[in-house]
Amino acid sequence: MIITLQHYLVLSVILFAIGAIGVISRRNIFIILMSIELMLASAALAVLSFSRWNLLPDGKALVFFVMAVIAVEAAIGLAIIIVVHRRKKSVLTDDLGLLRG
Amino acid sequence: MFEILKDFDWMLFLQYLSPMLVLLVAAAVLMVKSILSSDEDELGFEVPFAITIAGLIASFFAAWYFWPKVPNAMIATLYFDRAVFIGWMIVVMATLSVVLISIDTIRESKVTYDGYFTLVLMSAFGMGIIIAAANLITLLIGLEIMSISLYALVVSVRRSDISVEAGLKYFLMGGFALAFFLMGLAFIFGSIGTCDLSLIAQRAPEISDVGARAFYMFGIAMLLIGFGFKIAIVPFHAWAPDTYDGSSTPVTTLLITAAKVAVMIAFMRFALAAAGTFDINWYYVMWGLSAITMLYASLAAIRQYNLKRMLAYSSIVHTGFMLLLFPSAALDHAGVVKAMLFYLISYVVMNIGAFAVISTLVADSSGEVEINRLAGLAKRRPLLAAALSLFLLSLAGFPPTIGFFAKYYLFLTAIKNGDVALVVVAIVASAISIYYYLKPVVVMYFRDETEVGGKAPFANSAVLHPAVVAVLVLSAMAVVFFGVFPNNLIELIRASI
Repeated sequence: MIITLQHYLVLSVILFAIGAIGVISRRNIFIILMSIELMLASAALAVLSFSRWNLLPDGKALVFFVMAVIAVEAAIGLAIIIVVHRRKKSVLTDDLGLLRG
Repeated sequence: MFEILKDFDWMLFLQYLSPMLVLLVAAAVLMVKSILSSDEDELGFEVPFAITIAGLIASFFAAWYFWPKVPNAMIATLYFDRAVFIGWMIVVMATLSVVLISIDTIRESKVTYDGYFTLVLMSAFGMGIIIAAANLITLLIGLEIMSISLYALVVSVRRSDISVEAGLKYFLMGGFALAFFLMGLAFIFGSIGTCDLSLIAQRAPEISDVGARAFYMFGIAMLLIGFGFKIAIVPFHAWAPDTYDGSSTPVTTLLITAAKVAVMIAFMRFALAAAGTFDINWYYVMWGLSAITMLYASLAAIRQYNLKRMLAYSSIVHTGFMLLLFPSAALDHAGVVKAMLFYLISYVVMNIGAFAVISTLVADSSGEVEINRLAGLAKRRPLLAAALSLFLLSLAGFPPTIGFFAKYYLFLTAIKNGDVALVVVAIVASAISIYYYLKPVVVMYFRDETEVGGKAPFANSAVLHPAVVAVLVLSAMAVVFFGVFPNNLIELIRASI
């Protein structure tokens, strides 16, 4: 089988969907953060595969911006989770019921 | 994308970027100061406050100085035209007001002055990049600079556990939105081969390949969802009332005014590029989003008994009003920019005023800003009650205020473009809004404080800080002055296109 652009894009969209479902359905903040990271990484995969198959060399530079953004998001996310855990002694969204709707 | 970086005038670029760079320098100075200083120095308030104010004022006047001289051109990946500088001046004024009304709040919370002011300045710098971005990647970087600082602000300037939760919610929704934004960026980049907004506008109508067309549409849809989360359009708004309500009042003010203005201007640029020619799908999608945002948020605002939460929903309603311009944006680019800038200026002025009043009310009683607890405020603090009433009436769009003319020009532009039905929806939403904006006014003027159920009424003892008084007086003057003489402002904006 010859792997084409379409295969990579389908993979990227599937990963994105898995991440989105994870964000919506999971109750553990860590898992939600991981799901968001998965969504961001799937976007990076899409950029790279477009850059490879449509001969767009800029994409390889663009993907570094995306990776930097992913790293920064992870850093601030973990910091916020530490603050939440210190305050509430829990990382489950069910235990954080002060704000609803 | 990067060939553009090979030959451009660095000096010219730095010169026009200087209003924004000033804030970056001020933030860097504060950061270095906080590293070098000992624990006792960190308690000092005057030095970081002075650096911040000086940076903001210098930035404002630099923008004012460059405003008539800008070349209306794209240098590297940033636009420098007059609209950018007007937007930047709005953001700087909003940030300055936030700094002024936050003095008491910061004293009570545990955040250090250096850290707080650094974060505020960094987020303002990010907003500048967002406003000027001519390229989706630059826009992405600007959004991140702004959002990261804002996440940290919401979590660290806390009045209670609620702020931490609000920050967590804001961060998770922000990350979710960012993922959609990136996915859209990837597909637009893949189908067009560039992230440059003007090149997108140029090449998008020429895509002939069906597959590339589908990728492009998918990318636009994803970007629209990303923007929808960032500016709180209704199906994607769930984070907004919680975050606005949960953060401490100055941070809420920053989120609701400066951050929203910046992202809204970026959204306008994106919309004018993406819908450069009239497109029927775009028309229906924007029509639906605008109508549902106005109606849903208006109905939700009626149910609120908390003033801050009500204003959060009201800001979503105002977003819906602004979206009114976008279904037929392609027909009249200049008119859309004009009406939008005018609306954004009035939106910022009214909200700054209203939140300045709230920040003084909260200062002497922690907890929720329940509307019932405003009872009898007109007797105890007549000036404060009058100011809050003025800002609420302006938000509702009563005639001798700036809010009326902003709405008038918005509706006029939309009607000129043929969106009469949508304007009717907007007028219905405005009629609903009169009810919830007048509720606090009625409570303040016509209800005795004895009727408050068990809780102490507000602001018996609050001493107004002179800085807050200055913000209140200036925004009240702006609301009335531009409400009576809107032509000055309109001339300024007309000269900016």
